[in-house]
Amino acid sequence: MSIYRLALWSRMKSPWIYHINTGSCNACDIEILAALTPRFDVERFGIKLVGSPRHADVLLVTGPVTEQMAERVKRIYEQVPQPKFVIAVGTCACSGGVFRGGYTIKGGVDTVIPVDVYVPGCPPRPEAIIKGVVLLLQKLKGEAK
Amino acid sequence: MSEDNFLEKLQNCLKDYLVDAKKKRDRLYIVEVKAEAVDKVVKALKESFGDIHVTTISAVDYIEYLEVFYDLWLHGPKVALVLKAKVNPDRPELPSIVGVIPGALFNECEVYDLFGIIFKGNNHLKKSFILPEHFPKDYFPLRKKR
Repeated sequence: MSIYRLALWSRMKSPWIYHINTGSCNACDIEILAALTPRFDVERFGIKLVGSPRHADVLLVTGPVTEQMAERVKRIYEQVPQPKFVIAVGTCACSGGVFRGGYTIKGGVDTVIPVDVYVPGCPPRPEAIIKGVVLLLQKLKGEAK
Repeated sequence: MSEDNFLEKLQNCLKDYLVDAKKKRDRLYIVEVKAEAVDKVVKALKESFGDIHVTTISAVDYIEYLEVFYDLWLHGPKVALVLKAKVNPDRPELPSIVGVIPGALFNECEVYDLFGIIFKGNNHLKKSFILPEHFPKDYFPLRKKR
């Protein structure tokens, strides 16, 4: 139990993020980069982008899920160690956006994997993305009590 | 908090200001409210459903009336809410929501610049917010009639 609490504490102090693009137009990806790079610089709060889903605590998913990506998103989600969390960034990731109903589109991210926090916007401002991560951490804190 | 009975909760929460509320599809609700109570509506939503994310604010000119849209996301029940309010095109005024959600400042300024809708309580409204500086001060480009 105590080791679990230690792990939760360290995860809250420094959530590691893995970013997947499932067919996004790159606007949301640019905003995520803006949030990570020196202007907003979330790395000073310990939020770090990692290169492998096996190192990640949080998946940041952008874009509507295409038929091709659906299987791969699921596979990436399965590679993330427990406990894992998903943030859908952008209107497309939340619901499919303007691409909803298209013949290559499966829908929002929640049609494939469970989503914890939605950040709508086309694209969302870096502040909104940071707010999404903070909301997720608050949720975790609620679980920690 | 989940989406169950969301429409009922919404109707209870906004019953004094509501004109019409309907569910468009899963996690998308369209609500029409009285224009003079928009700030109270947003405040009531914030009090009963938690954090609100303003995706965008926009408007449509239907000539007989102008309709202002607030695209909101409620982080509590995880639903998208489109708040609509009809205003008179001759006196387009409605209260600002900047007091409740400071992040809506830029969106309100943009709508003022393009449609000439006055958000009472927002002290930063001015022409040429996004339009070029030499643009006529009494011309609102997204209005259908001058």
